[in-house]
Amino acid sequence: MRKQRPLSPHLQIYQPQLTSILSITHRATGIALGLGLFPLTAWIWAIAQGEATYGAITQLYSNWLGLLCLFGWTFCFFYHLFNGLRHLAWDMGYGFELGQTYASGWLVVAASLAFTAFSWVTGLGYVWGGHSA
Amino acid sequence: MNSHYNQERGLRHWLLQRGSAIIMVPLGIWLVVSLVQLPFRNYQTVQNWLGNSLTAGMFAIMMLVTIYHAALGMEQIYKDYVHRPMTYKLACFTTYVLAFGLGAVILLSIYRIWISAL
Repeated sequence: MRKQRPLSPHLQIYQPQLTSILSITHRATGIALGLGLFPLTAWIWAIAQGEATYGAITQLYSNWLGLLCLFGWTFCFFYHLFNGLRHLAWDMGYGFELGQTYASGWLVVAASLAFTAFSWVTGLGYVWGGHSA
Repeated sequence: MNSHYNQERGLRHWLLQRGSAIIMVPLGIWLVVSLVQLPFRNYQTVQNWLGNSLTAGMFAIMMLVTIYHAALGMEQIYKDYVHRPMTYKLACFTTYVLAFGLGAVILLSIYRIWISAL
């Protein structure tokens, strides 16, 4: 094993800022969404298998861990979507001023939280209201 | 592989990433809105929803584009953090194989659901 040579401090000294935090969160939500493609694929496969398999997998996904993951992925989806739009705006050349970057950044966070909450309130409303029966 | 090849490959990756993202904006919104309203406990309703030709088509496109976008993203991540060329190539290869596998399972499943609903 090569001897570890000393490096200049990086994450230990770098002051967290909205820009860097949102950037790494965009990457992290991307990874999380990618991982979520596997249970999603399994779910679609289960629909194709028939009612018994579908019932079993829905049951499995309905436990506390499944619901927690689903909630997390909902946030990941909205965050990655809104920050993705922010990225696309940058790609077209808009919004590079520091003030604009901070404003759009906070907007992305607010929108992500709001849409996550709204979609879950709506979804649970459907489920508890008997619509999902 | 000269620098011109790398430049072309980098540009292609950038364009595909943005192109897939743009496609996914409307389709993703449609998907989430649909899933929130979907009575998922009712198997027949779920089967009918996905069995509808338009829905099946849109869902298939959304899934395939998503999977590809995810693979592109992962490649970018490996590029940043995996420094050994051989490990990087192996990571990319595995990712694209998995992406292809997921895509195949999704397509076959959607087809099967669609056919049984006809």
